[in-house]
Amino acid sequence: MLKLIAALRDRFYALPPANKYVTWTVLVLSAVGVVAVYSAITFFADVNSGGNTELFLLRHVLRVGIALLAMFAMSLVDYRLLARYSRVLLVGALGLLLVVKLMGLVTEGPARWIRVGGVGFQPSDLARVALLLYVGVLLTKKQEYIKSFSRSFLPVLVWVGATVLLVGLEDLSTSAVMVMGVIAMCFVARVSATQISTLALLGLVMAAGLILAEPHRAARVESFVGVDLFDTTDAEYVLDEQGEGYQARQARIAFAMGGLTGVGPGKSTQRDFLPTPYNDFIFAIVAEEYGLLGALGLLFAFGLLLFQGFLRIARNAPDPLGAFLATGFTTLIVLYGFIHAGVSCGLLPVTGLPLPFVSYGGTSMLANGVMAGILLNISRQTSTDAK
Amino acid sequence: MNARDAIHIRIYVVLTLLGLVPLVIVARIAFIHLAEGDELRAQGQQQARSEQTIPAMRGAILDRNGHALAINTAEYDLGLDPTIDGFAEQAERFYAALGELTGRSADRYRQRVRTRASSQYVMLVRGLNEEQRSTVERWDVPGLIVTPRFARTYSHGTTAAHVLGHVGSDGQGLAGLELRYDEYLTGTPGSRAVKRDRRGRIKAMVGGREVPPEQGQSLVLTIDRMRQVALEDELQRGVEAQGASWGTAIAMDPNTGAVLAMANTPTYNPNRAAAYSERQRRNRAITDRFEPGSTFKFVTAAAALERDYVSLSDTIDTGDGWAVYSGYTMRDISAYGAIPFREVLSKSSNVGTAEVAQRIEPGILYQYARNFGFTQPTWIDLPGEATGVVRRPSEWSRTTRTSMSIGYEVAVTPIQLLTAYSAVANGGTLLQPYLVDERRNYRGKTLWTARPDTVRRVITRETSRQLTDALQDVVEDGTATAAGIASLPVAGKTGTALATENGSYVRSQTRASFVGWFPADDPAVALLVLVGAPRNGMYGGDVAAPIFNRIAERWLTTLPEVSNRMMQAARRPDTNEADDPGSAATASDASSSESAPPVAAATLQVDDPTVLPDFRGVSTRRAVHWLDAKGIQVTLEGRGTVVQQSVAPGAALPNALTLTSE
Repeated sequence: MLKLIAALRDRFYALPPANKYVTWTVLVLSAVGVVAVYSAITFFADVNSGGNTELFLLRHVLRVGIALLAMFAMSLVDYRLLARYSRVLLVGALGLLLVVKLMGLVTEGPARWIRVGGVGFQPSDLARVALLLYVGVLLTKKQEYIKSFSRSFLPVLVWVGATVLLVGLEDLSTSAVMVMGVIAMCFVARVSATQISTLALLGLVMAAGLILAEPHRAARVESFVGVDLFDTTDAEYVLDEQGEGYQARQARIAFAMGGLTGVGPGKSTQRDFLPTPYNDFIFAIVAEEYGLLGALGLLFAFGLLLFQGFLRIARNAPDPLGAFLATGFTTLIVLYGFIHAGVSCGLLPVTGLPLPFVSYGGTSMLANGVMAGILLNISRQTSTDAK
Repeated sequence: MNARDAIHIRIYVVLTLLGLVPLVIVARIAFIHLAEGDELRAQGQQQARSEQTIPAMRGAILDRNGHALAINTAEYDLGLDPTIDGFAEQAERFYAALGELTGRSADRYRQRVRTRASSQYVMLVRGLNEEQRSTVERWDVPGLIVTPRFARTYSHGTTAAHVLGHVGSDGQGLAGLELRYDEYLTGTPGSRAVKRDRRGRIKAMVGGREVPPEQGQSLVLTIDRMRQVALEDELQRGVEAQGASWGTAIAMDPNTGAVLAMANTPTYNPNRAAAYSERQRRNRAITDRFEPGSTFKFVTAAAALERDYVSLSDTIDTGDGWAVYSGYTMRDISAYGAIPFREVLSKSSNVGTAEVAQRIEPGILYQYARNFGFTQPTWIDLPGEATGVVRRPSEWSRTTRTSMSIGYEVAVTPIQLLTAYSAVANGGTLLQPYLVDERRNYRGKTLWTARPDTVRRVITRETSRQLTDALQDVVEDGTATAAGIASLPVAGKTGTALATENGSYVRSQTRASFVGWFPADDPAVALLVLVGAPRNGMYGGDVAAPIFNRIAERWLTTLPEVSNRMMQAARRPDTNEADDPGSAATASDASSSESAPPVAAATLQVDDPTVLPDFRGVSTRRAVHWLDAKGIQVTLEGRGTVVQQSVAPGAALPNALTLTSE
């Protein structure tokens, strides 16, 4: 054990420094998350454990700790080593998804969780990391004939399709962000724009089909647009106090109440009116408690991640694999953040996406930690002079 | 362009696209602030705030001595939100336990929850007491909602039920004083600003605006609880003894119009008003009209005496006890022949009264009936009062004058009749009867005090004196000897009226009544007793007068001036109460009673009512009577004549006293 720690330490000092901006941004976001979740979870805690808010805070801090530890650990592991096992990882993740699906069939309910020894685990979070990792590897391998549809794009499509099928049907928003990450990566890997557009078009058609098939999803879109578009939906659902329109409006109220500087830490009232304020609407809570400045601060943090990820890490990556992975992972993290913010301020229909590093939620926090870790590892190996 | 450059360019493209997203978001947030901000803020503030009402406490109702008759107690309503997590598992056990607690079936509550109107709330039980509430809370069932509220409690059950009335389930006055004074009793609820979340749960708001409730005012009545109880007791007992179906009694201070007691039987318990029928809840004293019969003759007499149609000593020929007026025969109980008008009244001769009435102008007779208040309500402060029916002369038939003179073809309410007699008693002034003496705020500060209200002068003092004289005869040697009280002059009049059933008069539906006052020359209490459909007797003198007597006897102990006077009257041998066995002793040896205890019972000597007199030689009965009137508790050892008293004569009045006799 001591040997292992010593070995890790030696390795840490032997490595070149990681990107400081990304590290600090993640740390700051996590700290903000702890404070915001502590406030936002009050109502939920009141209802579910008789007001024991500290219990939930402790759980969140523990998860943040694990995620940061994972980030640190991954920043030490060479991403090329990881790439070698990427196929195994993806197959394993898909296997877990399949198990969850089957379990869901048995219990006749939508299942996204695996419980191992009392700890819930969401395989879709593992799958999106594994998929991006493996697609990055695939694209790197096929750089020689990257414009060929059948030899390079088709295999990518097959894996993406498989993952989307297993993740996607219930968790459309996760799939969508995942596909966008893949598209960004493919585009950067010089896959033909026409082919990507075709894929994107196909994805849109499929998504539209899914939306139409599922009344509650259609209703979300309807309530967002504010018009009764589809016959299949229940008008009541749209108008429901607890429905999607209600949630979006409550989130906007949070922004309005916050004003420029906010109502102050822990003084949110909208946490009592927003469903899952500690998760799906944490951005709105921050906007209420810290005002416009708080909201801009969060956006700035994700913007910083975006620029650092693309301009410092992806562009300066030592090899194409590094560039592709940096692009994919940065896109994934940042898109989660932007979509979450967009949902909060009513720009997008209500989806249940967490704000990376801030929201309360174990597996997604871990997945983000891992992705940030890989980013940091790539940043360690940048060749600023390799021009 | 090599691959590396192409990759770099594409990185810039993606970066640019993604970089635009936060700009759009910022624009959107700016839009929220600038365009929708005020409206959203208003909604946010409005939905998070709530006004919680703080209920005002209903005022109490107190008797004239401040003794509580109606008060508020805390009760709890038990509601339930069956959608709360964890309720379903405990539901069955909870229903069973609740059923056991309230003595109802568990199924009743299961049904209620199943058929509830709103998804998240159902009212299960109203009015749990403190103990039941703590039991329910110990079960610790999730989803239970316990709401406290004030409930009305009538501390003495049926006592003064018809006067007090009752309240509905939300505390609103429904009858009696509760209804009449509802606006004063209710008060104004306050409010408190609280925080509210999306489940409607309420949290205290620090520094929130709070408006304290204005508690309801308390009523202090003219009624004395002990007298009311005595009156109810005796009325109830009398009605039962006569096998009657109902009875009414009202007592009034004839000098002020203050109602001293009011009762009806059958009665009801206002704590459970809904369990009683309308018949039981009706306050007959003010709502029932009846043909008064002979008690109405005083109107004829008043008109005749005051307008000099007749004097008390004028002889009236009542013939053989019957006379025919316009084809209708009028009868007396027996033939009295030619008797003075005074006796016409004391013997209650119908023929004689009708004979006198024939001399009175119709307008005059009507005018007196009206002036005595029979054409209007008395405006007593109770809801639902009925008005009497007295026909105008223009509507009279040929029989009306004679019928009306003896109390037929008119209808009056008991309170009207008693108020009119009070006018005779007090020297001729008609007063407005009232029940509420004071209104106080909840701290006990008096806000309003009743002032006796004169309606009009009806007859002169002289007429009043003459009538009193005649009505005293009624009790002394007329139809109402049963109403007489030893050593005390009582004036009054009996009434026996047949009530109509299906349009004709039937004997089984008699209204036997007695209205009178005592002492006759210095009235303290006017009292009406009306008994409906007695089976063991029929005449007012047999049925109602004894009830009057027993009520009066019991009340004397609470009227110190009257009982003092009685004792003084008893000591004087020349008064007409000298035949009372208690006052048999002569005053001849009054001086010797001080030196040595005499053998024969002596008269009680009271020189100064504030110190204890010498009871030695006085009969225990007389001594007890005197002490009772002073509110002194007496312990008797032996009976007969007092030989020893535990507190020496001349000492200040003690709280308790022991009298020893042989």
